[in-house]
Formats: sequence, structure tokens, C-alpha cells
Amino acid sequence: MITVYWVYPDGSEHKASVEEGVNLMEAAMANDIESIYGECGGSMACATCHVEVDESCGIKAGEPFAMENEMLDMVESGRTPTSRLSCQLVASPELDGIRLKVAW
Amino acid sequence: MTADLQTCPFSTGSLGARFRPYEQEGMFAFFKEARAQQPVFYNQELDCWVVTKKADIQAIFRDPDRFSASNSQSPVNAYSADVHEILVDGEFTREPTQANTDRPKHTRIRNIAGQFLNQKRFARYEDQIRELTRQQIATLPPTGTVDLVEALTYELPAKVLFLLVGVPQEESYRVKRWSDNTFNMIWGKPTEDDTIAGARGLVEYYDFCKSVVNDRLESGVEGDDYVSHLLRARNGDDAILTMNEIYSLVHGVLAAGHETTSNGSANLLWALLSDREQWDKLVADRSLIANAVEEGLRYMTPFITWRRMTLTDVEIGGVAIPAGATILMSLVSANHDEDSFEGPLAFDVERKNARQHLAFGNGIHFCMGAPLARMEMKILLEELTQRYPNMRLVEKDNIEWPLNMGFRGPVKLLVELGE
Repeated sequence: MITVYWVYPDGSEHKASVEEGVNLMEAAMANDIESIYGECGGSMACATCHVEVDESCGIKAGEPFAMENEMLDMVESGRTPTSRLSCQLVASPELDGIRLKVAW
Repeated sequence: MTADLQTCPFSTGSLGARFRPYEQEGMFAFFKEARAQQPVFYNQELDCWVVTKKADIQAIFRDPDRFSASNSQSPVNAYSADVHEILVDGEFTREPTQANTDRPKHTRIRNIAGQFLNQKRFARYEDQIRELTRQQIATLPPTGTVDLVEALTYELPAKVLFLLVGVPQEESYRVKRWSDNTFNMIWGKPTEDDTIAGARGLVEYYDFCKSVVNDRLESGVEGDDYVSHLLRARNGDDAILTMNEIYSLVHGVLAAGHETTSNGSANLLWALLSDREQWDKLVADRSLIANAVEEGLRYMTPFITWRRMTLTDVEIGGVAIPAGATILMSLVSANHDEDSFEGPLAFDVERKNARQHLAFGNGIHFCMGAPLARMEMKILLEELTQRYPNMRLVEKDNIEWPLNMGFRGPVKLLVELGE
């Protein structure tokens, strides 16, 4: 299990334990994180699981994959340098404590 | 058995035999019973397995390796030899490109289409869509009785789509007629005479789509429209996209891109006005409108069923289904599933998880037009609640619904506009 924080625009946060191997879009859905919808089920066709990795927590999630990269260019809420589709982030020890800002 | 089940008009015999896929009357109660008693059942009339639980349907949508989309737009009632002849002679060569295509073709085409059909691009059109909506609302009288379908929801989504595709607005009525015909041919219950006439309509419609693409190719592909985008992406290379694929894509978007929104809008207005308290909530607090759109899509799902074909023997909800079988997913039943939605048969614009519906599908075939449809319906409600806050339904019941197993929306929606 790792710990994941989702941070809302008003600064409030939701903390949850996530089993290793589970992608963080599924984890968000299981935790009823607002504005994460995962409508395409992780096939990188909708961008409704867009998050911004808050690197101030000391954890980096790495660069987006090629197709993910294209989808991120299309998000209405605006892409940032640490934007990721959370369906492409899989819970692993390296991501323990990661903070994800929810994009509205 | 609860009271509303007793009002179900088909309350004898097995579920499969009682299933009336084309009819609205009694549908909600029927599926409520199915979800509780037999969530996966066989229907002989359509030779299909009907799936009614949200979790099962979502799992099917997310499993394209075992469930092919190839049958999703096939005519429910197979065409006769005469109809085939008309289509062949008329060079009706529409081929699967999106919703009814499997990978890898689906991936190739979706990636190209998605560079245009995406939320960021749609957002650029917001002001123009609002303007079109205001213009259409301005054609309504200040007071009195009107049919909102005819006056508003029928043509407006087509006009919006034409803006994106780059087709003259004057064509919207003709295209609406053609797409009505297309959907009746695929999901309706036409007579043989209707089907013969309908086949000629399909040919005319496809010819129109070809001419739109060919005219654009001739006049230049620099424009900021969908057809130009597809032609630029193709750049003369059949390996990227063939011309017939482009004709088919245009044909697809010119139909799917507005009929759904027309029905979704009319359904939403019907639901809101059937329960005035819900409408009044939006008038008082317009920030509820986005969620009301989701609740409308959930409660009155505009496309009620969608098909898949099993590529292997499968088991759904404990029921064994052989390879090659037709699966009919009841999207409206998924959206009324008690395990996913509290008090699902109530329409509640403040429902917290309304957006978890499957009205736009799920997985690799998730509707590419979803952000556009959402924006159009939101703008329509924002403008209507402002212009006609006292609008009322003339008659809540006795609404006429089309005889169609896919598309569902009121044929007419008479309202008193109020002061």
C-alpha cells in the first residue's frame, strides 16, 4: 500500500491508501475524488482523469507517454509542466506520498 | 412486487419474452424488475443477450478484446435483397470507421479524429454556439404555446455541428431528415416500403457527404473545420486515411453529432419540466445547470441500448454466452442501477454522482462528442432559464416517443412559454 493525496483547488486534500499496481485514476474513482471521471477507462481517449503532480512533495512522476502527451495538449483546464493523466500513473513504492492537484 | 411493477404492461411470462425493445411505455419498471430478478436474459425477437447492470456493462465496454464493436450499427432488421441492390447501385460504400470498428483500425482513425474532436477545440466554439442558441431562441414568440422539439431542439444541434464540420447552415433541415431516416433504417422498425424509400435516402445522404468532402478538396483544405482537418491529415496517403474513410467519417459525424444532442436536450427539458421543482432550482441557481445536464443524461438516456458481439465464449453475471452472440447493453438500465445510484428512478439535479452514467459509453469507444454535447445542453439551459423562467409543460403525460430501440426522445414537447 502507498499513500496518495489528492489536493482540491481550495487547498483541501483527500488522503487514501492505494494498493500497489492500481492506477491512480481507478484509485481516485474508488475514493470519489471530485472531477476525476475516468470516462474512457484508461484508454487515453478522454483526459477526464487529468491531474497536476505537486512536485513540492519531493516526488516526480516522470514524463507522459507519447499518446498521453497528445491528450494532455487537449485538456480544457490547461496543461502544466507536471500534468499527467492519472490512469497512466500506477501505484508503486516510488510514488508513495505523491500529491496530485485535481484540475477543474 | 412493488406498485410500479404492477403497472408494467408486460407483466406475464419470462423477461426475455416480455422485453419490448422499441417501446418507451413501461421500460423503466421492466428494467427495474430485470435488474432484481434476471439481470442478464436472452431475447428471441432480436436474438440477443440483454445486459442490465452497470458493472457488467462497464466491464464489457472496457474489454474490446472479447467484445467486438463491429455489430453496433448494423441494421437490427436485416435489409432485403431489393434494398441491398439500391445501396450497391447507388454506391453507398459507407464503411466502419469509429463506433463500429475494432482495433487497430479504430485506433488509427480515432487518433486522427481526436486531434479535432476534443474538449479544447470544442471550447473555442463556445461563444458561437451561444450566439446560435440565442438566435434560435429569438425565433420563439414572447409568450404562448410552442413545440420545443420543432422550434428548438430538433435543428439547433445540427446547426452547431455544421459550424464545426464546415457545411452551410441552410442544409441543416435536409440533413436532419436524412439522419432521421438513417436511424430508422438501423434501429427502427420500418416496413419494407419504408425501407426501400429509406435506402434511396441513404444513397442521397452519402452522395451529399461525398460532395462536401470533394468540394473541400477542390476549394482548398486550409480551413479551420473538421473536413479540412481530415483531408490535411490524409495528405493524399491512403495508409493514413482513405477518401472513403473520410466520406464515412463525415457521414458519421453529420448524423451522430446532432441526433443524440437533439434527443438529449428534449429529454432533459421534459424531465425538468415534468418536475417543476427541479426547473425552479435551476432558475434560482444556474450553477446547478452542469450537473442537471448529467442527471438528464443519466435519467433519460438519449441512446438507450448499444450492441457488442462476443469474440469468444464469455460469462456475464454468471450467465454463459457463446462466441458470436449479440450482446444488447441497456444503457438506460445501467444508469438506473440501484447498486450505483441512490433512488435511481428519481430525477434530481443535485445528485452527487450523476456524471457516473454510461450515456456516452465507456472505454476506447467513449463518445468523442461528449464535451460538445455537454456544452450545447448547458448553454441551452442557461439561455432558456433566463429567457423563459416560467415555462411550463402543457401536458406531462401522453408524450409520443419514437418506435426505436436506440434513439429515445419525445417526438413533440408542447410548452406554455409563460411571461
